[in-house]
Amino acid sequence: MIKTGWLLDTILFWTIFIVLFIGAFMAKQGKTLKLRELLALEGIREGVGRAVEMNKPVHFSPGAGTLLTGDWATQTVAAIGILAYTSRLCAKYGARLLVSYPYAEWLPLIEEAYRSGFLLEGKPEMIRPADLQPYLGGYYVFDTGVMRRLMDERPATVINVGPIIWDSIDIGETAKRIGAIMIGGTARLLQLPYVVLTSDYVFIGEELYAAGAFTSGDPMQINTVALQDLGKYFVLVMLVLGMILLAAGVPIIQWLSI
Amino acid sequence: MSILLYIRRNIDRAILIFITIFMLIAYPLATTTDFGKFMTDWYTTLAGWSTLLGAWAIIVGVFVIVKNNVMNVVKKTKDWYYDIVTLVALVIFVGAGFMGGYTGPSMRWLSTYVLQAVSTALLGIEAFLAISAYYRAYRLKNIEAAVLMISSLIILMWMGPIFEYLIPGISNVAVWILLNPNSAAQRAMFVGIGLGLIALAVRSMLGRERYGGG
Repeated sequence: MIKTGWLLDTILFWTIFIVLFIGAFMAKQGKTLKLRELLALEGIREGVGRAVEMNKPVHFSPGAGTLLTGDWATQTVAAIGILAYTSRLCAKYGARLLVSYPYAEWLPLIEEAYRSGFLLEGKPEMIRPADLQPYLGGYYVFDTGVMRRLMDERPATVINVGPIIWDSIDIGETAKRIGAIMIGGTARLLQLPYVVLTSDYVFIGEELYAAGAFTSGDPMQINTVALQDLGKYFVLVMLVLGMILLAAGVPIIQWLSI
Repeated sequence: MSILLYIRRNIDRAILIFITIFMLIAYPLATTTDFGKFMTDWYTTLAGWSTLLGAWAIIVGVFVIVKNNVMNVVKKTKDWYYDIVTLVALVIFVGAGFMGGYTGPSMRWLSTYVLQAVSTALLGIEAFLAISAYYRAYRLKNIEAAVLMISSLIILMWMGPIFEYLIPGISNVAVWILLNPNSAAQRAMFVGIGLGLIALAVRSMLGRERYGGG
């Protein structure tokens, strides 16, 4: 027996998957698509600049739900890409970067992303291992740990992106309390309203996944992001077509449940 | 480049591509067929490996915590005495775990009277933090803020039974907001997030997503 409703899912998925692959390889022939700038990336640049001017650090955390499974893991991967970008900016302009994270599983990747920026900019002397601080034991521990760290260190900019739980409110409001610029972002719909509520700049949903590709400047990656819009148009056409067929009495509900 | 070096550089991506294709084939198959059951069992096993990784990573995490806190105490950094509290708590919790196991009486006592108490305190703080965030967001700066404020007020009034008495039909409006504009926006977000996930998988398989196994 085959899972109900698998056919449309599988066809849609593979179509989008193959189109994105083709798009990525188009870049090899020099066909690069254009993207609009993500406002939140501009916010990170502004935040690092502000930190340098105020002689204060930048604080980064990848959300309290950085687990190794499901879309929590993919969001963490995206967040670590943003950390690498922030680290490079901090190294370039001379800002101290504080990193807090809630699960030790990600330590090697987080450490590498933190160090890579400073090494790429030729400033290994700015690497301070003590600035990487784990707060292990769940989101209560992480949130209270980060809140205390923010009150102690008073960073000029706070970046909290990734699989966010209630740190959206805890970290966001503490950042406001110390007068920091808050940059948030998540693909978790439950937390997205709180992130928007507490942040000055936001990576909304898919923007979180796209941020790494934006910052790389790699045409192959940029093409995969640009072609996502094609997927959205495709879904819109499917929706309108579905409505018309349904109104015309075509039994598409039965077809879709195959 | 030697073959060994090539394998070493690409082994992670090979594993990623293999597992991704494996999962994609496993998805449409139900558990009732033998092949589907085999695939589902393997999926469960693969997902279980992440738990194993997590268990090992805890050792690394404890090491980092001990190192950082001991260094803070030795260097007498700002508020270093809190680091002693962390170290003492760590010893107590590990000791309790060794004495009676994770579900033993000591650990249960610590969980009930220390962890839960602290967690509840944080929940209490969150309520005030949320109110302060709402207060800032509900200032009528522009038309979007006005729409947000009015729709939130309607939902809030729906939660308070007295408003249904004072303004009959308020619950219908609230339910309409939740089921129509709210659901529509959430579904649009879902589509975008799904596409973003597929693009991330493609980039990882192409070796372009550095922190995604690429």
